[in-house]
Amino acid sequence: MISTLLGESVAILVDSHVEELLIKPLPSGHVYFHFQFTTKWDESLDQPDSFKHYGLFPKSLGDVLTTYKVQELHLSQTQGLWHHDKWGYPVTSAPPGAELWVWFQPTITNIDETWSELVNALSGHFCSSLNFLDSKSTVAPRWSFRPHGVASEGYSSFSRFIRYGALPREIVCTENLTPWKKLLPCNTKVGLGSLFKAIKLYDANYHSLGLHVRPVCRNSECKETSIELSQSLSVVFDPVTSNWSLKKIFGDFLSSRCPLTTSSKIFVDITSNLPDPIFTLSPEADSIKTVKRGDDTRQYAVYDIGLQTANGRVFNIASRYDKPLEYTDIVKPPVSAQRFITGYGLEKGGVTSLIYNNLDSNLTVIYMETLPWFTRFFYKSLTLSNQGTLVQPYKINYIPGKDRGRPYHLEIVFRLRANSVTKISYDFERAFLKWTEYPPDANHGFYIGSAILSTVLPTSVNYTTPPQYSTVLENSFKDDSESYFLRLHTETLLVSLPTPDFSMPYNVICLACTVVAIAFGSIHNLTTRRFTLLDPSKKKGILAKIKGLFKRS
Amino acid sequence: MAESKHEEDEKANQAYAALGIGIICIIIGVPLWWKTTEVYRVQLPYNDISDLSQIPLVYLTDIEVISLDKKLDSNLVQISQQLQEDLSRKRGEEVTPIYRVTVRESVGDEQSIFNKYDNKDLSNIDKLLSELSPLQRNKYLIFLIPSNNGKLNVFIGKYYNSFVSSNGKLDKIIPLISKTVQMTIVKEQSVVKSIFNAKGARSLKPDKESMRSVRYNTGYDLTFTLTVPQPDIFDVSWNIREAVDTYLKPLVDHLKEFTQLKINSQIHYFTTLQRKPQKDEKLNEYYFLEQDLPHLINPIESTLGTSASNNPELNFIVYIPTRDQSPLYIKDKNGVKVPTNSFLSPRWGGVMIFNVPEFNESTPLPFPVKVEGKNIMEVFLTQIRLLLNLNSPTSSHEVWFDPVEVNGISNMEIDVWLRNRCFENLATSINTLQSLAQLLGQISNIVIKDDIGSQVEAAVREIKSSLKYLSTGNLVDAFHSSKRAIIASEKAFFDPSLLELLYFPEDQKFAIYIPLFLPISIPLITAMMHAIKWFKGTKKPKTD
Repeated sequence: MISTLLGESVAILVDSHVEELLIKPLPSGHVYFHFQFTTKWDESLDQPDSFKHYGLFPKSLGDVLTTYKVQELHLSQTQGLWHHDKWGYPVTSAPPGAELWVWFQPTITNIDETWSELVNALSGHFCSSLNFLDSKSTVAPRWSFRPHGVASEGYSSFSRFIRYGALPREIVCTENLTPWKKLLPCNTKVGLGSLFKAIKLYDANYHSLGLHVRPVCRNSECKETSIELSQSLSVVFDPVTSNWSLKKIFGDFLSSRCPLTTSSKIFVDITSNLPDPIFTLSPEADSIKTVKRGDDTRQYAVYDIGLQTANGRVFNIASRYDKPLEYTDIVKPPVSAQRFITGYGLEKGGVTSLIYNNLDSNLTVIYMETLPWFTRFFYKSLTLSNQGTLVQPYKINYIPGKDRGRPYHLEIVFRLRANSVTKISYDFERAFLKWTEYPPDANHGFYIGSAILSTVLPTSVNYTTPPQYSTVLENSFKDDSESYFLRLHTETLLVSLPTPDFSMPYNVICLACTVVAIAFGSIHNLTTRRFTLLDPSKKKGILAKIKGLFKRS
Repeated sequence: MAESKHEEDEKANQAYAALGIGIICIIIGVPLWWKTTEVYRVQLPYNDISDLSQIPLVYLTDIEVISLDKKLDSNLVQISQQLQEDLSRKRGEEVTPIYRVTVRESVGDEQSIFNKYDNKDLSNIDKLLSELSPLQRNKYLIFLIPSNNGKLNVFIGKYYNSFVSSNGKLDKIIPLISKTVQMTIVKEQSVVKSIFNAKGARSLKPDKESMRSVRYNTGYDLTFTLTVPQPDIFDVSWNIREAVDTYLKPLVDHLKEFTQLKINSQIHYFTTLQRKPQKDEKLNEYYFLEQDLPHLINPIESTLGTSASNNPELNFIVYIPTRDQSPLYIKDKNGVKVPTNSFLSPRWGGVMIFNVPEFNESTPLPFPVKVEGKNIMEVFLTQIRLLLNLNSPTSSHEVWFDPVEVNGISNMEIDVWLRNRCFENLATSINTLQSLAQLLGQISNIVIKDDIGSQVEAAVREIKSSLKYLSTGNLVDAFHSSKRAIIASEKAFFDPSLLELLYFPEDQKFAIYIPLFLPISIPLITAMMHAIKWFKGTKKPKTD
């Protein structure tokens, strides 16, 4: 009887949810926490009729996806900058501020209009200023952002269906977390979500909310697609004294597991304990897993939240260092980048990016840059050089900007030589804005979004991103691929533009009026007054003088 | 002398120059200033708008009386006259129903249908009759059939046929027919009421019934939410897709032409009612009293999420009580359990509490629970009808109805709904246009763009054509016109461009103008005054 019941329930199981937490002590003494929530639903976005009766998948999001014919949606909201040199690679890379890229379904008719409706809907949904992603800050990248999920060759080879926009100025805070965590089936009542206390989370060095929707294969045959919603929250804390615990960092214990999940686990990276243990974890892990992925071997302590919190126990992972942490040279990640503003003055400027390749082999990378229209990019000034020699790019996709119309968009494909630094630099001119176009606090400056570097790494050192076929972290433990796709976001830049004094319009009006009035007054006097000789010797009384002022002779 | 002549000439020149400059400034400067600072305002049909409320509201309905009673054959003309007279009696309301009554004998086809069933089984007769000719909205057939027991009563079918069993007494039959037509078929009072409510929407306090139902919109989003506060204890499932297809689809299909009902469902976990129910110690039951209900919705609503469309949303919630609070009931004012265990929240939706059957302590958790579509949909359908203002009629001792199935809706009900919504839309639209016209008249600072002008014109045109269709009995076209009218008028009224210049204060204008106007106008005016004085002075000596 029970088995038939179970059999039935398995047969109708069309959606599943997995929650995971990856904890990674970083060589700089920081601790990286990556929460990953993956919901998979066996419905296809191509058939909007089936997107009506929701279970674990959030309806409010599904409604947006079907209304605006979205095929894939990737949104990240980040506070702080990920330091690649010190911290290695994050699970999902995100630029400071907000970033949104969307692949639309091929049946869409007016993509620009739909995009503007979509960003407005998402803006309301996630309480962020995504509605400012208008044509002035939206581009359609050709090579940097391929579909992440299942897509046909013909569809993905065009950049017609993609839109990308970033808001580097966006500040991420509690009001963004609240709508984001509402999408979790267990909300923050039980399970890993119960650790999300805004006051602690926003005290971190780096904080990033991610939301990724994409179609994935329903099964190994891949005849049908399912939809996968991946929500991630990454935080990097500095525990000050190197000892850390869940209670210390999030202010709470874990006391239950979300009953709707098929798996809910915590992984702690203990590779740095090899060969000599430098910290001890308590309680003891349920299992220790050694993962070999490519040429990188890592060891994880695995905790099953269900087991740890059984019978009403509270669960708190704590890590204790027996002796003070010794800081050693940090192994540089294979590829990293640095970008900064050059030049001086308020008329012209430049941007230089340094891209480091620490591998012993050449690497082909795609570099993407989006500049706002008011930093007018000079294509001729674009130079790529490697230790003094010019680098000839393989391909360049350049779309010039238009004043108040569209941004400057540049994609370059080129080769990074082994163990070298490649320098990309170009000049731009700062434009004058109309006085209504300045944002509040214009003297703060204007942001230029991150440049994006995409490449395929031959090595998995420092690499934690799950494989393409699934965003579940546990699946990355059995990944046997030999190349690893990497996307890297550089720093955002802050440029100051010539900024007027904002009382200027009124001053101009007053001044212009005065000049006109003076000119008019003198001409008027010349034409309507008579000039007569006065005898200065004739003395007049004060009263007569005053009268004379008003009365014309 | 020559000197003074010269001086006089010079003075004259001076005066002419001053006047000349002054006049040029006035002739060129003032119109230029006026034109360049003018607020762009499209001319709106203000007269048409104010005349709209003068147009008499009239609707025409066709009534065809068909006699099968041989005894009445000689009286057909008399029936026709009397019925027409009865129905066109003055009512003193602002809306006038007009009836076009025709009376005839039955034709062969109809006769044979009645004979086949021997004047009984009126439901089947109704169905067969409806197949004789294509259905025509707003036209009602009334069959007079000989009564078996001498009693007078009315049977109203699902299609457009009504059956009056006649006892041959005209003085009884005619008032009965006219009463049935007015009260049950056309529902004159509900038309009056919907106009009243629509008009009062912005000024008067509406009554309970009109507050309950949502106002007309081109679409509604219906969301069914299954709320499971303890998924670790109850493994709740529902086959909502099937339930929607069986119970709601007929209604959706019937209304498709007039309003789109978009149906969604979702399951929410870990959302609890934050108010604690009271406990009945004797029965070991929990209950909420009527006054508790308003407090139940808010905590649930905040988790429901939003919809991507602009349509009004109606929410229907099935709540599975937590284990420590079950069984949970709703009690009315008198302390009696509400049989459906559900309640309706006006213009918002409905909530139903679904108690899980008791189970053994030793049963392994989570305990599987299946929510049957029939149980919930029967309750929610009634609520949907109430919310959409599709009130189903109730039988009385004289009049009874062929019952439509729980999921169905009769054509006559749709007619009543269309008529009421049409008048509601018209009244609202007229009201909106008049408020807009009044507002624009009062505040001269508002910019009126071309598209607002065209929206207003379209609304006026549609209102007029809708009223015309109503007076000729074309209900469907009248409804669609009224729909377009309300959309256009609301769009014009809520257009954000109306607000653009509204908050530009007058004193700031002066702050900008004064640096220019003051230094120019003072010498200009003083010079002109002197010139005028001089002219007066030169004239005087001449007349002297």
